[in-house]
Amino acid sequence: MSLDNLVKLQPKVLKILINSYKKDRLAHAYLFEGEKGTNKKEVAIEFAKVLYCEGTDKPCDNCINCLRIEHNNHPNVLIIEPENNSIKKEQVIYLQKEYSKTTLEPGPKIYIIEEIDKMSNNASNSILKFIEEPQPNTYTILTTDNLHQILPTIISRCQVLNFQPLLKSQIVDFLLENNIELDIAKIVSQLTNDLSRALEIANGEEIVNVVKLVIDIMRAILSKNENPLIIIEDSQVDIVNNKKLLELFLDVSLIYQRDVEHVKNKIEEIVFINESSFIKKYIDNIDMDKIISNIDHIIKAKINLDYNAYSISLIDTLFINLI
Amino acid sequence: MKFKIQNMIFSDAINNVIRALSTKTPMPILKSIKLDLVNEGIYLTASDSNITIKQFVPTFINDKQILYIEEIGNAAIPGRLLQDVLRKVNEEFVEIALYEDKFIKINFKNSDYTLNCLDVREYPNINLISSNSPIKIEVNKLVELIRQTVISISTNESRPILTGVNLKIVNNTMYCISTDSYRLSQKVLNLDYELPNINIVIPGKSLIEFEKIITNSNGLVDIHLTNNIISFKLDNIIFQSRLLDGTYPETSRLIPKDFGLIQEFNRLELIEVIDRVSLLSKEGASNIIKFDIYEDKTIISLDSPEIGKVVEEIVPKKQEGSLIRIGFNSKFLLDALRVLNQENILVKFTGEVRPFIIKTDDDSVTQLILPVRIE
Amino acid sequence: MSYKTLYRTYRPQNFYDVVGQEHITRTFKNALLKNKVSHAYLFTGPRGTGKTSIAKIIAKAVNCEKAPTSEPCNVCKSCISINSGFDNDVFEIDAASNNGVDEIREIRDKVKYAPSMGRFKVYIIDEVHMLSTGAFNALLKTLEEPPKHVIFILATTEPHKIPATIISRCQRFDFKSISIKDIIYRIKHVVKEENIKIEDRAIITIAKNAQGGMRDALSLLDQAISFSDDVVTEENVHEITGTVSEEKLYTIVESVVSNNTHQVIEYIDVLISSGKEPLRLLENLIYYYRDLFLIKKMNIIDEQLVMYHSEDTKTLAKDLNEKNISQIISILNNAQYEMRKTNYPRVFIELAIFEIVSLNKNKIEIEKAQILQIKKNIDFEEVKVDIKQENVVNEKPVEVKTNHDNVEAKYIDINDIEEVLNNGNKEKKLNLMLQWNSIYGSDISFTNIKQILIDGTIEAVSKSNKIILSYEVESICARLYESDIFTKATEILEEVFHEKFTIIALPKRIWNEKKEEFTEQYRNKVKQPKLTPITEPILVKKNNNKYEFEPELVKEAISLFGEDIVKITN
Repeated sequence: MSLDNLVKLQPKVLKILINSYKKDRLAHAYLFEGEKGTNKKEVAIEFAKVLYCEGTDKPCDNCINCLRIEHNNHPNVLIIEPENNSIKKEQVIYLQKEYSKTTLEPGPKIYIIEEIDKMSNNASNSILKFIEEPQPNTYTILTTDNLHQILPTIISRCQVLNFQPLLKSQIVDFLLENNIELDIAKIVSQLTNDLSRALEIANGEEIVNVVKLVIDIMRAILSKNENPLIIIEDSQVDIVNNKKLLELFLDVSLIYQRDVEHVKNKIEEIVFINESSFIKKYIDNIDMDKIISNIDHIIKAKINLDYNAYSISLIDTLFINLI
Repeated sequence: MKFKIQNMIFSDAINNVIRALSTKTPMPILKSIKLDLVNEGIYLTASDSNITIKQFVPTFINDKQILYIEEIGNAAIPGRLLQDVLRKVNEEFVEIALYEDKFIKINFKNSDYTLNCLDVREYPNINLISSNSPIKIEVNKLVELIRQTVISISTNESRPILTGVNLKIVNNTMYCISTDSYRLSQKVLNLDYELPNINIVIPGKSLIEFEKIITNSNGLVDIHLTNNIISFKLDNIIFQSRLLDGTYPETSRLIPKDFGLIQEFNRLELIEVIDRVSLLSKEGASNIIKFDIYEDKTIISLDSPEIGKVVEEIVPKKQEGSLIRIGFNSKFLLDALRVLNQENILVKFTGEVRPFIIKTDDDSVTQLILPVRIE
Repeated sequence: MSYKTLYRTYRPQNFYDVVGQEHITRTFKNALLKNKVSHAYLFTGPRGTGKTSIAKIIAKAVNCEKAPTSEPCNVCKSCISINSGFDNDVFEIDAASNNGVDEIREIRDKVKYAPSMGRFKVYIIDEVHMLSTGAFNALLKTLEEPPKHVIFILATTEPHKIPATIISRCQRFDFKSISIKDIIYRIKHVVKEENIKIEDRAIITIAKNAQGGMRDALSLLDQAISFSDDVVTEENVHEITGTVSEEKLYTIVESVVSNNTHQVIEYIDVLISSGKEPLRLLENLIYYYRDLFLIKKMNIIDEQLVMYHSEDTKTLAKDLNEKNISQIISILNNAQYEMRKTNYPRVFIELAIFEIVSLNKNKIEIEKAQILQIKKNIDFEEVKVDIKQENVVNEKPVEVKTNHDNVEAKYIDINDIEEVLNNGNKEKKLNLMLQWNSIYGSDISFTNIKQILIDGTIEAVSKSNKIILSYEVESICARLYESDIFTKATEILEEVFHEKFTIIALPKRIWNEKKEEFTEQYRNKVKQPKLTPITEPILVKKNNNKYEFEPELVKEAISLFGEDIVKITN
C-alpha cells in the first residue's frame, strides 16, 4: 500500500511519524497497537523504506533499497513474524544477536517484530534491554492486536502509537468499489474492521443467505406472525451443524436487533436500510426492556458458542428467549 | 553471464565459501552464492550476514586456463543446490549461464539443469576491502594472537559486548583485549607502520571460525578495518565479519602495576600440578583452588566438601615478596598457561583479594585472573 | 547522531534529580554518607517510579572515588564507567530473561570474586518476581551469607510474588506512584531545558494520563511534541492518548441528565467515528462520574484527587444524587467488563446508556429498578426450567447415541459438597474472592483456562481447600471438567495462591438447589446436614487435542531437548 493511502487511513499515526522524522525526533522504539487490518505492518515497512530510500520522493518503491525491504532482503532491516502462531526461541536468539552486532551495510538498524504478543514473556523480557538502551541509530517497531496482553514493562519502554480501526464508512466505500451491493456492504462493514476480511465475507456464498434468514426470523419475531424455529428448519442455511454459519448468524442478528433499538429510540442511522419501514411498522409490538434483553440473549449465545456449547440447545434456548 | 570452468577448482571454491552460507535466515537472498564474473576471473561470495567468505578464481592457474569467459556479469544462485549439482558432475568442465536474469543453466555432458535465481541486485552490498592501509601479520602470529585472547571472552549473552575481542590501535600500537569480567587477556603489538587509530570489538566466534580456516596456511594476512566490518585477506580468500556494536569497557585500570609478590615457575610443571589438583573439582562447578605461599614452597590445594581433598607442593624457581594465601578458579589459570609458549612464566600478585597477572619473556601478552575471597 | 528520547535523556543521575521519592532518597543519602549500606535491598512499586534509577545511583555512590558521599559525582572514572552501562563491578540482571536456576547459581558462584576495581560489586536484579522457585532458593542461599563486598538490589513491580524468606532478608523500600504534582514539576523542567512550547493544560493532561509513572509521562510528552505543529496543545494530548476531553464528557453526561438518549447515542457515534476507542471512552466516562461523585461529597476540591473539575462539571455535580451516581458507575463498570470479553464494544456502550437513562426516567427509580430486576430473574429461571425439560426430552438420548465417544458423563459426589458446606472457612473464601482476579497474572499463557476459572463464582471454601465454583453457563462448567483443563486449572491455582486446591464446579442451578437443601436442614438444627445425591451428570467432552492447552510448556521443552526426546505423556 502506498504511503499516500496509508496517510488517508491512519492520519494520526502518520502525522506523528512524519513529524518526528522531519524534526529528527524519531524514538528508538515504537509499539504499533490496533485491531487487525489497521495496516500496522504496512506502516512499519514504509517507515523502513523512508529511512533507506535513495529516491527523491521517499519512499519511491523503485530503488534497490525499497525493493529489498519489500522482499525482506535488506540486511539492516529485520522483520520477525510468528511462525505457527508464536515467535520461537531461536527467532529471539537471532534477534538478540542482530541487536548486538554492527550493520553489514552502512545505515540504521531497523527491527520490525510483528505480533509481539505472540512472544513468550521470558523472550520478550530478554530483548527489553536492547529495546530500552539500543545502540545509536537503532529503531525497533513492535506491532500487536492485543495491547493488554503485552507486558507493561515493554509498553512503557516504547512510544505507543494507536492505530484506529477503519471507519465503517471507509469499509463501506471500499466494498462498494469492489462491486458489493450497498445493503450487504453496510452489514459486512459492521462485522469486521479488516478490509481484506470484509471483502472475503462479502464475496462469500453464505452472507446473502444468512442475511435473508436473519431478516425472515427477525420479521417473524417482531410481527409475531410465524414461528422462527420453523423458518430455521425450512431454511437451506444449516446453522445447526455449521458453527461458522451459526456465528455469522448471531453476529448479523445482533446488528438487526441494534437497528430495532435505534428505531425505538428514533435514531435515524440503521444498518439494515431496507428494513426501516418494516421495523417502524411493528415497533410498538416490542418494548425497550425486551429489546435490551434480546440483545443480551444474542450476546450470551455468542459467548456460549465460544465455549463450545451444543448448537441445537443453544439455538433452542436463544429462540425461546427471543420470542 | 556465461562461462565454462574446470569443475574441480570451481567446486573447491564453492566448498570454501559455503561455510558462510546460512542455513536459516530470514533473508531469502542469503541462501544464494553470488558469482561475479570479470575479465580476470570469477569471484564467489557467500554470507550469513554475520560472516562473509569471498574467493577469487583467476582465469589461469599455473599457466593453465581453467576458466573460459563468454560474457561477464553476475548472478545469485541457490548455494546448496549448486553444490549438490556440481557433486554429480564427472566431466572436467561445466558450463554455466544466466538467462533472462532469472534462470541459471548448468550444463555438462548430457545433463542440463535450470535453476531459478533471485535478483542479484538484492544481494547485500558487501564492501570487502575498504581501507588501503591494512594491518599485515603473519599467519602463525595471528593464530597465536587469536588463541591467546579468545580464552577470556564471555560466553554469557547478557552482555554481548564481552563475547568479543576488543581491538584498539592507538599511536601505531595494537591492543587486543578480552574479558568476561573474571579474567582478562591482553596482547599488545607494536606496528612499525602508520595506521589510523581505531577501537572496535570483533565477535569471538568469528575469530575462532577464521582461525580454523587459516591454521594450516602460511604467508601474510591483510587485516582491513572499518567501524562496522573487519576483513582478513589471505591469498585469494577474504574472510569478513560484522563487529559487535557498542563501547567496550575501559580495562586499562584493571591491570595492576605494582606487585607485592612475584613467583617464577616452569610452565609445563605448573600445568601438570594444577591439572592434577583440578581432578577433584566437580564437573561444571567452579573449581576454586588455593595457593598457600611460603618462603620455601607453595602449597596448592582443593577442598571439595562433596568429593574430597587434594594437596600438592610445588617449589617456584624464584620468588620475591611478602607471603599470601589466595584462591581462584583453576580453569582460568590452566587456560592462560596453555596458550602461552615460553618455558618459564611469572605470576605477579598484588594482594589476597586483588587481581593477579601471568607474564612471560614475551612481554606482548598479559593474562589476568580475579581471585575469590577465601575464608 | 540519532535522537535520544526524553525519558532516556532525563533519567535521573543523582538523588537530587529523583522526583517524588523523598522518603527513600533521604534514607539512602544518610546511609551512604555514614557508610551504612546493607547487603540486600528490595525495591517495590509501580513501573516508572525510579526503582532501577535509584539502584544505579546507589551503585555509583558506593563505588565513587569520592565515597563516602551522599551523591555520586558522575565525573570520576568509576561513575562514568557505570553510566556507560559497562562496568565490571555493577551487574544489571534482568530476572525475566535469566529466571533459571542455572543463571542464579552462576551469580552465586561469581559473587565470590572480588570486585575488580571498585569497593563493591553491585547486583541489580530487575523484575525479580519472574524468578522460578528453584532460582529463588538459589538466590536465598546467597542472600543468607552475602560476601562483604556485595550489594544486592532486587526490584519488582509485583512484590506479592516474592517469597517471604527473600523479603525477610532484604531491607524493603516501597516506591510510591509519582503524584500528578511531581510529574508536572518534572515535565516543566524538561520542557524548559528542551525549549518546547506547550500549554499548561497540556502538561496537566499528560500528567493525569501517565498514571503515576515518570517514564510514561515523558514518553507521552515526546509523542505530543512530535504530533504538534508549533505549540503542544491539550487537544494534541487527547488525540494521541485517545482520551476524551472534559468538555466532551460534560456534553455526554449533560445529555444523559436531560434524558436525551437520542442525542447521547449520536454524539457517542461521532466520537467513535472520529477515532476514540469505545473502551477508552467508557473508561473516561467512569472517571468522570467518579469525579462528579467526589465533587458532590467534598466541600473543597482536592485537585490532586479530582481529574475533572471545571465550573460546568461542578454545576452538573450539584444536580445529581449520590446514589444515582454510584448506580451509574456500577452499570458502566459492568459494561466495561462485558466489553473486554466480547467484540461488540459499541453495543455495550449503547446498552449502558439506555440503562442509565431509564434509571433517570423513573422518579421512584431505585425500587422500581429492583422490582424489575427481580422480575427479570424470575422470568429467567422459569425459562431455564423449560429448556431443561425440553432438553431431557429432545436432546439427551440423541447425545448418548451419537456422541458416545466424545462425551463422558461426570457425576459429582455429593459427599464432597457436604464436606465443604460442613467445614466452610469464611476467611479463606474471602481471601480467594479478593484475589480471584489475580489469576490472570502477567503471564499470557493459558488465558482461556484462567478465564474459565474467573468466570466461576466462589460459593464456598473448605478448611481442606476444596472450592465450590458455580457457573451460570453450564457449558463453561462442563468445560472445566475436561481432564487437561482440570489438571491445568488446579496447577494454575497452586501457582497463584501457593496452595493446593481441589475444584468442585457446579452449574448455578444445581448449586442453588443443594444450598437450599443444606440451609433448610441447618435451620432445622441438623448439625451435619446430609444432602441428596446429584443424579444429573455433567456432560464433559473428551479431549482430543492436548497440544492446544500446553503450548508454552511443550514448545519450551522441545526447543530445549529436541523433538525426539520430548514425549507428551498423559
